[in-house]
Amino acid sequence: MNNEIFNYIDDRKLPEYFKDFLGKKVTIIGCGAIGGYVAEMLAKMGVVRQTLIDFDPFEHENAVKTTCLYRVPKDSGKNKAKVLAERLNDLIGEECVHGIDANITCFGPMAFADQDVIILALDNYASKIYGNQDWMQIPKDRKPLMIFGGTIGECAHSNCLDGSVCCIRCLFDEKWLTNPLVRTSCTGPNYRIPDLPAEFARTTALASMESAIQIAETCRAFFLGYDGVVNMRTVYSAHPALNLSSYMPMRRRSCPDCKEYQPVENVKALENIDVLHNTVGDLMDAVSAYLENTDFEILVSRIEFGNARYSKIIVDDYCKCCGRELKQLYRHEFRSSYENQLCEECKNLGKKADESLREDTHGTCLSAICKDNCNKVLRGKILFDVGYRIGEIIWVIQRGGGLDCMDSEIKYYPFYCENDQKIMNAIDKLEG
Amino acid sequence: MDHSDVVERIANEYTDILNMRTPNVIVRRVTPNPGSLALLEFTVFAKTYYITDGNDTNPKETDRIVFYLDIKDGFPADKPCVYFEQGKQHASVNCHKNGYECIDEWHYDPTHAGRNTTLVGTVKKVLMDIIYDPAVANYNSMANRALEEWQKGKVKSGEFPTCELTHLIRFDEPGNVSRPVLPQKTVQKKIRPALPTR
Repeated sequence: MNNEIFNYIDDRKLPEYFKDFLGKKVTIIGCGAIGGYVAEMLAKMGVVRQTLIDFDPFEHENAVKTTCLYRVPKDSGKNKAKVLAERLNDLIGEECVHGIDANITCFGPMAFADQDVIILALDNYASKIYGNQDWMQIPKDRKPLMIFGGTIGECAHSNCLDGSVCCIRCLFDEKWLTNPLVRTSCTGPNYRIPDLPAEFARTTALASMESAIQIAETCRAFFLGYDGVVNMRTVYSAHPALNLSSYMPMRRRSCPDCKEYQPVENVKALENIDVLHNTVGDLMDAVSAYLENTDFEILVSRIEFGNARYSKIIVDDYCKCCGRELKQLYRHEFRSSYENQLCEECKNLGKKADESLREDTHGTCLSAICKDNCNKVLRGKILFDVGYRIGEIIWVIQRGGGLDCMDSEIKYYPFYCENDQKIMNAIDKLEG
Repeated sequence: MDHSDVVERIANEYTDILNMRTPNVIVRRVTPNPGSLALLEFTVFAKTYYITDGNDTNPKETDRIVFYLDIKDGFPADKPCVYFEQGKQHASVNCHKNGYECIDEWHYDPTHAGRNTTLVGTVKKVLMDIIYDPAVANYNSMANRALEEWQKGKVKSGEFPTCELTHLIRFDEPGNVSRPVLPQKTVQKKIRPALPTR
């Protein structure tokens, strides 16, 4: 970092101890009402190494609840993360903040490892749970602090967790996650379930700002070494109560994420490889070099979102309008909706998927990639395009020579692409 | 769920499946597909009907049919698949045109607070469908509606079910099938973290 950045603290007559914050790394996921304020407040206290992630464009009507860093009408239609990063860099005077136009679902656990803090400022439970599942899998010695907050009417809350007491999902009611559209496929691809229309809660800029203040203050206290803020939930109740309370949240016995998701230890870095630039063939060669063996299977990326699981690559499918065969698609289920599985001709003609074909035509899928099923086309596919996320923990299995899992122990090896973290600062936009 | 717990569950369910069936159902473990933990092959000797491919609407009679139970790596959170061998797919409204059996909702609750679907239950349902037991035919959500009239006609004429369920499923004392000897666990059980003190 340029030494002149220290002038940022001195020139603005900010507290000396803010200089210690200059090296802190924070990722803020969601740059809306709360995230925008948090990013601003953190930047103004010296936390300048921020990564901002949001896929939404800023709209004029957002202005009434968000930070004034967004300019109306100039920024209408532009991606929130990128605009906010630009404004903060203008404020700081250096290119420190990086904005990525992407959905949280483009990122796996290792994208956030080695950060100091992750702040989840999302407005839907499915995304929060997804973020939780990613965070839970980060190895313990590299796990950042997790802070998330929200508003309920005029009330604001923030939660600061380190994973030792409970997870984010422990604080949720499972009823909030029910999506009646979820149904798992008996056969072939499990297409991406459409998200339920968001239920917009009536809240105010004041409540959002209050939550953001709590989050920023928690960050400040943590960076100063006050462990008392960790594993605490803070709730502010507005007028007439005007009450601020804090308590330690507890683990929920029935939390599925606490059961299913644990820190993945002994994750090995595959050097000089990342999911945006390297292919399936590169991955297979790298794993083969590590294991000194070609007898292994690389499991397809497994994504759980909105209580549905997506864990296969669609190899061949059928156009959902005309029924024509779609060969060698190699697209992940999560990135494929039934409505979008159309041939080029039907797409160009603006035709729509035919629901009556849903039961009649089924594609073929892959659950794992091995030397026997990895043809030239698949070898040449970019990892991200076949569903591997930035910072994905890629599981490789080796069978112990027996027939199946009951016969001999199956060994699991977790890997990640070392360069995934390095390219985070170079990513502009991701579709997925 | 710990991997060793998953393997133990599969082994227990495999034993239960072997105990549940009669000699008219032969179960064999075969080489799993990539990404699968286990693949069980079921050869069923009972009167049933098959189609040769998805476009075939003229079911043919047979007294032997083969299906596979594919247990994926993400089991039990990821549901298993049941499919019939190519060229001899089960002719039923519950079986998709590509040969995959519709095994209905798969429920998995890692906290065991709710109901969990089992492999045994899934296999039982498939066996019942093979003999066209009316309890499992789902006309409200048909996987292959081209066979609806044919199947309903057979039910109406009294030809379905093709035989008694006891021909395939044992309802008496379980047999003496020994559980597979599992490989030695090399992974240590995770230690539950201590609760925070007040």
